[in-house]
Amino acid sequence: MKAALFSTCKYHGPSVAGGWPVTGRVYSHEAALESFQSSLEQFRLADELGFDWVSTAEHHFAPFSLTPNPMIMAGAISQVVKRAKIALLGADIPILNPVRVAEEFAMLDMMTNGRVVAGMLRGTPNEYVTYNINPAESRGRFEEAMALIKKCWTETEPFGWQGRYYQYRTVSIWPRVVQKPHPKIYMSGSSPESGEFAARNKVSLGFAVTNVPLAKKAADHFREQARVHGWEPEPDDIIYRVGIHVGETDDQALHDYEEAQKAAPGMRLTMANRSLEQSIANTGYYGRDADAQRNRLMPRSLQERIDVGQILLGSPDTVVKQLEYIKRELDCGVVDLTVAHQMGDKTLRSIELMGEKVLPRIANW
Amino acid sequence: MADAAVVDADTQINFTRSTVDAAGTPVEIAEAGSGLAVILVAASTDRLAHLLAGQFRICCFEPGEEFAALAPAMKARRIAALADALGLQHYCLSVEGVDALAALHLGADVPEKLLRAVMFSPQVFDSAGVLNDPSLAAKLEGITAHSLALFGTDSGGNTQGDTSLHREKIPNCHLMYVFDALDPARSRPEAAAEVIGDFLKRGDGFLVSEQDGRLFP
Repeated sequence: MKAALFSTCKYHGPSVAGGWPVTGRVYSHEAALESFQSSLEQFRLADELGFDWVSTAEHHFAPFSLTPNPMIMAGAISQVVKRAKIALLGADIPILNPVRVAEEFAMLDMMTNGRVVAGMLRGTPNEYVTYNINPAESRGRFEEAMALIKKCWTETEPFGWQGRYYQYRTVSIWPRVVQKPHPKIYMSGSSPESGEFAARNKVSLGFAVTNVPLAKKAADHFREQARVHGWEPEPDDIIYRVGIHVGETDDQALHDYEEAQKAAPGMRLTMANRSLEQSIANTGYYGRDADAQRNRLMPRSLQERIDVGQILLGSPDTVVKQLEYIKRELDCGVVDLTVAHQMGDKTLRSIELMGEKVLPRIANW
Repeated sequence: MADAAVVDADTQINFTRSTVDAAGTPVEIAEAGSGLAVILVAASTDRLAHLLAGQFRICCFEPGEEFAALAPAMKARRIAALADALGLQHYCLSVEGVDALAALHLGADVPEKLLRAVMFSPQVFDSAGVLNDPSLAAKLEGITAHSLALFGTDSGGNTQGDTSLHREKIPNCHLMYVFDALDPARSRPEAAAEVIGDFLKRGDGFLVSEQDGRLFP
């Protein structure tokens, strides 16, 4: 099983807890820069320690993430990560200009000599407020944007696009992608509709902000639908994202985590603004499985999160056991290990322990 | 001689049917609209024809079995004769499938008359990239009219290479993909009408947006 190190590049400076969007009135440039640099240092370390991928993502208007444009972050990562693949998990394509997304992915693929993994997501529900896009159009925009991005990568002649949401008279991107026909694409697959689209279009799936029982149900549905469309997903066609903190012992890991949780409470996105979330739900954003989709965003206690595979916490031995559960249930080929809290040297040590004592034991799974 | 009319409930466009003598061959057509003349090798009942008739003088020529059996060069002559019979000094043409070959012949034969050509799901090249009509090979470079080749993204009949060849090998040919369409003229007529309307009106200039981006005054 491959391992990725994921970081949203959380801001660890003065802020105001709760709500979304989050006010910038107490923002500290120095803290933001330090947060960014420590994330880069963690990615560099992960690369040295043998992580297969490093990954970044797109979130807006909150200290939860300082990477509203993951392409820029990936560009910075590409200068310090020399071996591992760089996964953007991902760009929130329904709220972006798809041609620009195709260009930026291609540029990164060129800069990294073909080490880019192209995640394309609908994003968390709050992201639709960011650029004033109707959440009801999310799925339609997503499906068309992905088709257009693939066309940008594969069509070598200048072409126009007459879509429902996007219209271009002539497109011919430079630079071109290195990986042929294009970088591997992942999309979020928690809802049944997403799994069905991915199966129909032979796209790989990633699961985030969910738990193992829900992801298993979605992965089983995806595999079943893929068979209907005549293909069998490989383990590498499924990524599972999970928070992680590894300590020398279980007690130390738990202590570190609880201390960090006290220092940085409530770093959330959609569920930090329940009224907004309800308005988005009213547009039909969640689809036919709305209750389950909303439920997976709900806050849980730490023990519950550990029990359902939402966070890996403990010594290397404990974390390997927790990973065994994920592998057994999902047969995923990639686990996207999320820096649970930024704890300075403790986080660096956690990454070292992953690289030295966890990764070698899961590499052949 | 005019007879039956076809009226679209939505656009309220009224097509008038008549028979025209095209160099000795009687050709049944349906006409509506005014302005730049566009010969549509398609049925006047197609929604696309009604949408375009709001902007252009549309002359629908529904190809029958006899026309379908003609060689591409002969089809081009028939269309040219029809245009002459209608007194058109300059005109545009819209065709689909293999009739794109006829449009290209026409572009080479009467470059002074054919202004622009629209080709829906054109079948000009075979899978090896060879022209489906060898007699066109020598004429291809002489085509000066701009053309627009439209392909539906759901069209399984065309591979990426097939579609690209039209842009690569036909002089002044623009390539346009219509998303979520098998047959763009019929499955997404509004989308098709918007882009080809702009192309027919402005030629190459259709690449440049003239849409007003202001939300409020």
